[in-house]
Amino acid sequence: MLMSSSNRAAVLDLRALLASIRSIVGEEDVREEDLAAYAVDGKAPGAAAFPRTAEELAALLAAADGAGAAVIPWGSGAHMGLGNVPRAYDLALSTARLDRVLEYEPADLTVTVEAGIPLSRLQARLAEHGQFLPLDPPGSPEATVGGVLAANASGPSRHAHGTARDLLLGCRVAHPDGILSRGGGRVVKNVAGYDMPKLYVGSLSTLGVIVEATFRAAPLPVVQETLVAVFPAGTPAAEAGSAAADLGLSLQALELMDPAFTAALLDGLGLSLPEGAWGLAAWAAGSDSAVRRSMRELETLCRGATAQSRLQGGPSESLWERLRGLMQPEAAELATKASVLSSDVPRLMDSLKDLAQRSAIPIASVAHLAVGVVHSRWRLAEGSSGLEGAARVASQTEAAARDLDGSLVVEQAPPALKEHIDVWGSPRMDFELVRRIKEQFDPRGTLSPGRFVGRL
Amino acid sequence: MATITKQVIRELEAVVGRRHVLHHPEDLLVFEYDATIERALPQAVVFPDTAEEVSAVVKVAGRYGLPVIPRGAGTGLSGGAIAVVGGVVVALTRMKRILEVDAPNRLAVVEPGLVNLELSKAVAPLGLYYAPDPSSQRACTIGGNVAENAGGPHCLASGVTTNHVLGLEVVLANGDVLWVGGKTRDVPGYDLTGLLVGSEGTLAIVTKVVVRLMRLPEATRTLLAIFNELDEASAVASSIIAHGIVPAALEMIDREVIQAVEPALHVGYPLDADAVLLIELEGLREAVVEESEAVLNICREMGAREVRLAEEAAERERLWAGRKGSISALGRLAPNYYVLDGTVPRSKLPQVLRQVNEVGRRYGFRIANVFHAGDGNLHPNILFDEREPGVVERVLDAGREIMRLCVEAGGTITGEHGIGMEKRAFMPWIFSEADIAAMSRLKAAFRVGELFNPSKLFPTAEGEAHQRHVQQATRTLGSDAYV
Repeated sequence: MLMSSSNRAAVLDLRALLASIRSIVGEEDVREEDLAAYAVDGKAPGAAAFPRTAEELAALLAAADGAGAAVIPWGSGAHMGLGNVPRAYDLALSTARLDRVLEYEPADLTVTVEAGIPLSRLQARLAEHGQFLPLDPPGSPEATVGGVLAANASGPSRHAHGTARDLLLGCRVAHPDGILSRGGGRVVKNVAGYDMPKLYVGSLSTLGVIVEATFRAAPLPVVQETLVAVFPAGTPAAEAGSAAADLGLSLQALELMDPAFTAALLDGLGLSLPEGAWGLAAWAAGSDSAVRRSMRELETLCRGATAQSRLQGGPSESLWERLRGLMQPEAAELATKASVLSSDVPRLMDSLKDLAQRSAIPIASVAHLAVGVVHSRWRLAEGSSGLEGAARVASQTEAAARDLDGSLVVEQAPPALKEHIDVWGSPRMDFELVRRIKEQFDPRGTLSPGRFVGRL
Repeated sequence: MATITKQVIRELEAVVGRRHVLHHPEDLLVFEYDATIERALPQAVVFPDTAEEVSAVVKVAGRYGLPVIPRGAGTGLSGGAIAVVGGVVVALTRMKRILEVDAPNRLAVVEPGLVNLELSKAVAPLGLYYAPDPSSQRACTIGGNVAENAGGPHCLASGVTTNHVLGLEVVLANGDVLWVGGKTRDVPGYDLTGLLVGSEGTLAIVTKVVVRLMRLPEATRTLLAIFNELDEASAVASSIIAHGIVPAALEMIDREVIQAVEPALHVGYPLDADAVLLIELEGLREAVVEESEAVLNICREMGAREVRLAEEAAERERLWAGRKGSISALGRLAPNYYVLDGTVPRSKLPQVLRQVNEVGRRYGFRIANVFHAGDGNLHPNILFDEREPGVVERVLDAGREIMRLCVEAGGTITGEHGIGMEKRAFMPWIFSEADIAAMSRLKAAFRVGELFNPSKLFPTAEGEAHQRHVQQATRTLGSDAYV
C-alpha cells in the first residue's frame, strides 16, 4: 500500500542514516542537536542536514528515501505553518546553503537562482538593475524562493502580476530517488513538453525538492502612490474597489479590509476612523502620468468615503510593508485563506465577521479584491475551549466558502487544532489524480508525509 | 494498427448519432492533416456534442484498443492533431457554445470547439476580450489553444494561454468526467489545470474551459519603425524590453516578408527596407502617450530611418493586416514554405537572426522572418519548391540547424506551436532522460497508456523521426497556415 506509515521501515535506523549522510556531506553539515528551530507543528526532526550543492541535496534525499525516513525540506521556515500535521518527520533537509544567483541577464528580464536564496536578497539584486520579481508574500524577509514556490505564497501584487505559477519559467527538482530533473526553460516563451514547473508550485514539497528556479522579472515601476480610504460600511468600499478594477487603472494591488484590519493598518496614520469603518487600499504603479490619472480616478470613486489619505514615495511602500506584516499570523492564531469570486468577496467577509461575532473570536480580514482571495486571522482564546471554538470556526468558514463555490485553506493553526481538521478542506473531485501523481513521484511517501491535501 | 470493424462504427454511431461519424476513406481525407507537412489517415472521425458523448466515445475506443486523437480546427503547426497510428479522431467542432459570461468577475465558461476570435467578439460589447490571439484566431479553437498552450502577438504583455485558463472539465482515459481548477483561484491540490494546458491532448480531452477575460484597453497606439539594417531592428526590439517597456505586441517583419506582403496587400511597408518593427502600446491614454514617445526615441536613437505612428483604428488595422497576412503572402515568393518556431533570450536576437540567415545562404534557401520579437519567439520560414528533387530533406536539415541555433543560444525548440510529431526528435536537445522520466511519471498518473494522442510530445530517436518526415512530406503549408 502506498504512503501508509507501515510502508516505511518499521523502525528507522537513524544512526545508519546519519552515517550515510555523513559520507555524502561533511561532519559540519549535519546537526543532531538544537533542532527545536526545525520543528513542524511541534514535531522536531531527528536531524537536520545542510547540503552545499543540488547534487548533495539529491543524494541525501535518496539516502533518506532508501532508509525509509520522513523528510521535510526546509527553507527559512517562513511557511511551515501551512499543511497538515506531518505523519512522521525524521530529517529536515535545508536549502540554506543553496543561495546563489546562478544567472541574471537584465536585458532579458530573466533570472535563475538556487532555491535557498532569500526572496529579499533576490529582490535587492534585481533592484540594482531597476527590476523586481513581482511576488510579495507576507512574512519574514528571510523567506526563501524555494519555500515561496512550495507554498505558492503570494501577496497584494498578485492583482497585477499573478502568482508564482505565472512568473516561474523553469525549475530544477531533486526527486526521492536521488535524480535531478529540469522542467520548463530559461526563456519567457516555451511550450516544449509538459509544463512541469506548474506541478511543483504549491506542492508543499510533496513530490520533490525545488533546488533551482528561473523567473521572469519585471521593470520596477517609475512611480508608486497609494490611496487609502475608509468607508462607513463594507458595501461602498467594495463597490469603489470593484469600480477601480473595472476602469483598468494602473494598479499593482487593491485590498478590501474589514474594520479590525483597517484599524490595525491605519492606526497612527492620522485618519479619523469611525467605529466599524471598512478600508480600501489601492496601490498605483507605473509611469508618472498613468499613476497620476489612476489616483485622480480613485479619489473620485472614493468620494463616498469618510476619509482618504494619499501616500507618495517611501510612505506608500511602508504602508504596504505594514499591510503585509499584518497578514502574517502569530503562532497561536488561526489563519485562513478563502478563494471565491471577486463579486462574492464582500458577502464572504460579512459572513466571516458574523461568524466571528457569534463565536466570540476576534477576526481581522483583508481581501485581494479583484482576484477573490480573502485572508483572515482569528485570535483564539487560550485552552481547550478555544480549540473547540476554533474547530467550529474552521469548518464553518470552509462551508461559507464552499457555499459560494469557493475553497478554503487553513494556512496556520495550533497543532492541536490541526489534528482535528484537514487544513486543505475536504477532498475535491480531482483527488484521485492528485493521489496518483504523489504515488508516481514519491512512492514511499518520504517527502512531507501527511502534510498535503487528503493527508498525502 | 488496430482495425476498425463495423461493430465499432455501430457503437460510435450509437453514441453520437449516425450523421456524426465519418468512416469512409473519402470522408476521412480532410482529417488526414493539420497545418504541418505531416499526414496520416484516421479510421474514423466522430463529432460529439457533450462531455458525456466524449466520455462514451473514449470508452468505446478504449475497449477496442483504438487511439483517440482530439482535434479542433486543424490549424496546429506541429502535427498535434494527426492520427499518426490511426484511430478515432474526436473532432470537437460541434461543442462550440459559450456557456456563461460573467462580466463582473471577468470570466467565461466555453466549450473547446469555440473559435478563439468568436469569444472576443461575443464579449466585446461588455468591454472585454480574451487575450491570447494566435494569428490563426479566426479559425483555431479554444480547445486547441489549451492543448498547445498557444501564444500570439499580444501575449507579450498579457501572457499565453496558460495564464488565462482558470479551470477545465476533462474526460480521462477511463471515461471519467471531472473538473480541475475552477472559477476561483488557488484551488487546493496540485495545479492540474496548469499541467493540462499544453499537454497536447495526451493526458485528457478537454470538454469545458473557464477562461479569464480582460478589459479592452482604453487607448491603443501602433508604431511602424522602418530600418535599413536587420541588425538595427533586432537591437531595437531587445532594447525596448531592456528599457523596461513591455508593449502589448512587438513584432518583426524582415525584407523577404515585406517583398511578399507589400505587393499583395499595399499596407505601406517600404520595399527597400531591411526590416520593420510593428509595436503596439495599450492601456491608459496617458501611459500609452508616454510609452510611445519613449519607444519612438529608442527607435530613432538606434537607427530607425522612419517611425510612423498610427492612432486611428483604420490606420492601425492596415499596419496589422500586413502582419496577419504575411504567411499567406509568402506564396508569392515560392511555391512552398516551412515555418519554424523557436525562442531565444531576447538579448540574443541580433546574433541568432544573423545565424539563421547564414543557414539559409549555406543551403541556398531564402528565409523569411516574421515573428514575436518582444519575447524572442522566432518564426523563420524556409522558402522552397517541392518539385525540386530532394529538396524536402534539405529543408528539414536546414530547419534542424536553425532549431539547434535556438538551443545553443540558451533558448528552446518551440515557443508556441508545440512538440507534436514534428519536434519529438529534438526533445533530447533540451531535456535529459531524467527530465523526460519526470514527464513520463506524470503521464503514468493519468493512466492513459497509448490511448490519447499516441506518438506525440515524447522523444523519438532522431533518425527515425527524420526519415518519417521525408517519407510523409508530400504536402506543405498552404494558405491556411498562420503563425
